[in-house]
Amino acid sequence: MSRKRVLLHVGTPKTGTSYLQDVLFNNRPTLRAAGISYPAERFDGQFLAALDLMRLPWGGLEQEAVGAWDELADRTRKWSGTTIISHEILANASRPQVQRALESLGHPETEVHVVLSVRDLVRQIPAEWQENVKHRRTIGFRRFLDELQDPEREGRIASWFWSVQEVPEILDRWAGDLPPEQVHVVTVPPSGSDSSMLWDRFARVFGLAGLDLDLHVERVNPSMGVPETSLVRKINKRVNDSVEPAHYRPLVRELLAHQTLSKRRGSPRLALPPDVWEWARDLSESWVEEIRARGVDVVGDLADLLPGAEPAEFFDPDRPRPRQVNRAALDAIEALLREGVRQRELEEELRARVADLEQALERAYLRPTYRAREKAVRKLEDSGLGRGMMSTYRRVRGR
Amino acid sequence: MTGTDARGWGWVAHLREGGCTPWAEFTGTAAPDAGPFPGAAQLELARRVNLAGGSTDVVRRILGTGAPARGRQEFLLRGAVAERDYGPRPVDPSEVPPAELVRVAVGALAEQLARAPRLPAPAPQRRRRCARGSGVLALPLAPVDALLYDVWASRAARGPVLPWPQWTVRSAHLERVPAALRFRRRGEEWRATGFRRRVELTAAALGPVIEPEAVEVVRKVQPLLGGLVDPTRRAELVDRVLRPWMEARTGGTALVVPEEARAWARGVAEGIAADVRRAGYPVRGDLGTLWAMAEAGRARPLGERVLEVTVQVLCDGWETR
Repeated sequence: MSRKRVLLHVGTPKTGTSYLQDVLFNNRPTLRAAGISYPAERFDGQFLAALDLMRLPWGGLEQEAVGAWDELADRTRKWSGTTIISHEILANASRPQVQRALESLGHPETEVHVVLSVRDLVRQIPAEWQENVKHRRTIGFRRFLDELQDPEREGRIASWFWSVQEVPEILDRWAGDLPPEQVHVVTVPPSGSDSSMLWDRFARVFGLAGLDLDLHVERVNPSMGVPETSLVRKINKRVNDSVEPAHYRPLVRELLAHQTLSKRRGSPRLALPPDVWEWARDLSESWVEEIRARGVDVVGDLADLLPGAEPAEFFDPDRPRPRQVNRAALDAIEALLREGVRQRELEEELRARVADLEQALERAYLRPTYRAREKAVRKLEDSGLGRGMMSTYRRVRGR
Repeated sequence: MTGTDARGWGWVAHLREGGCTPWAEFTGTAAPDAGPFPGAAQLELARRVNLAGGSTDVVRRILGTGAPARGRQEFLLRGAVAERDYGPRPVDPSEVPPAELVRVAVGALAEQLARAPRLPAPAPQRRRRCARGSGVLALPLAPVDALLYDVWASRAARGPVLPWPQWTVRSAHLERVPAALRFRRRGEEWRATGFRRRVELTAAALGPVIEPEAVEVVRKVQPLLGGLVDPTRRAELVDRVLRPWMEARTGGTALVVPEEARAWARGVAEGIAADVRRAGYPVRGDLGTLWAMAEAGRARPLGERVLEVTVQVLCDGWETR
């Protein structure tokens, strides 16, 4: 039996966290057999706990989260081996929320480790803008960058971005009270690295190396290129006031963004303009120094947080090439048409079933007893007194 | 690393004891606490609660809580934390925007409400005799902006709803008429409930205007409550605490319909008039009242006033006047 400890993975977003969480969720029995608990009854169970801890309304989902953190903490305290808790929005927690979280998990008696996976800002910033676009926002890339660079950090976009991406600040909030050996910074390898490298780092820090885990997951969160992201932004501008979130999610985010536009190859990728690239590089260098000075456990290489020698070619997503956007739009139209056809076929099938049911109902209506009752009701509905009697009858019958 | 000096902890202690001195004028000191140092928004809110005569319990809760929902993560207190090369720029508490103070305040309010003792069961109502049923459904006759505002205020108590300007503009884009203003349907439903049912339009059917800032407080507390208590308890708190409190706060002026949504609002008025004429409902007053929308006024609640109302509730509880 492994010793009792808690590995608390608190972010950051866009660092392969969904993949890690899906692998952990899908392999719970194997993990338990190895003395590792990943407490969650549903794939988003720990997300709900994070919402509860931070009192974050999330489109109504928070109503399913009432008490979820206390439940998670209770299960953690009762488990005698290692517990892994992972959600990237925990990076946003304020100091009082962090204090509550750590105390509820048994800190300082229990050995709590904080894990923070991090990726270089040069990739994180465009990725966060794209994520915003996939969540219905219409803000242009340049304005997004201006908001992030504004030292006041006013507005929802900048405040959220920095609260979940500013690595030294997150470490201050989450790990200010922990010895450095219980703080682990996992770096995301640079673009073009072997795809297994990040998993190996996660496996190392969470003690998963050597376990026979199924690493296949269904849920993916792929990225789009410049014309595709620009297209979704234009779509947002057009439909935000007329398409409800419940329809936007399956049709725009899932069907168009994830299943169609992110599969297109050959489009220019999102990157930072040269002036912002330099600013992000300087900021990253200062962060690297800050992390190094803390003496925390680095899994990977802090150099991963620094961009390459030269910025990648910048294609302005606020002024994309019309031909590229048109091609992306054609793919989008095709996908929507296919979905329309599928829905029409489904509708026809349902119509046929409704027709069958109506016929069955009609046969039931033709019975003499039903016709007599129907006649009586029609007669009663014609007069005020009759309507009153019917109303009473219906209330008595609970209709 | 963040360091907090003795003057900062001195101010925390001062506020916990009911002090009201602004940070810029404070000179005392105290030893640090075990917990995290409160943010500038929490500290400034605590000072305002003290100024309004709030209890030390409320202040302690405010100082020990983070801000709920999205927004700036925290405001560091300028002059009390060590300078860092990263993180948000520390601020003087007097510079924290009212909206951020309100965010902390509504979080504290929602928690206060969630912790309230269970309410005694309502007195059983005398069963109405069913088919006796004569009755009049009085539908409101008022300018359409007042009708729309009343619908929005009711929704704020029922569940998440957009702020007034966005709600009206979005409804306009969707060409959506609120169910409460579909008078013909409401009349038909009423008539189907029994015999001798009548429907009429009268100015008396619309209650006094609820203060927009009170609606705003309820609109902000409601979704937070959803994350703190189960749906049954939430419904109980909304029906028996939040809504009665809001409905008792009358006396303000309704918010005006933004320019972008005025044509839609006029269309709603026309729809109501057409419904009434077609159904032949008697009108006690002038149907033309529907079009008498306010031309000028404010289109959103005042941030400072929302804060004032929130602080008042933190101090006095959800009392109905």
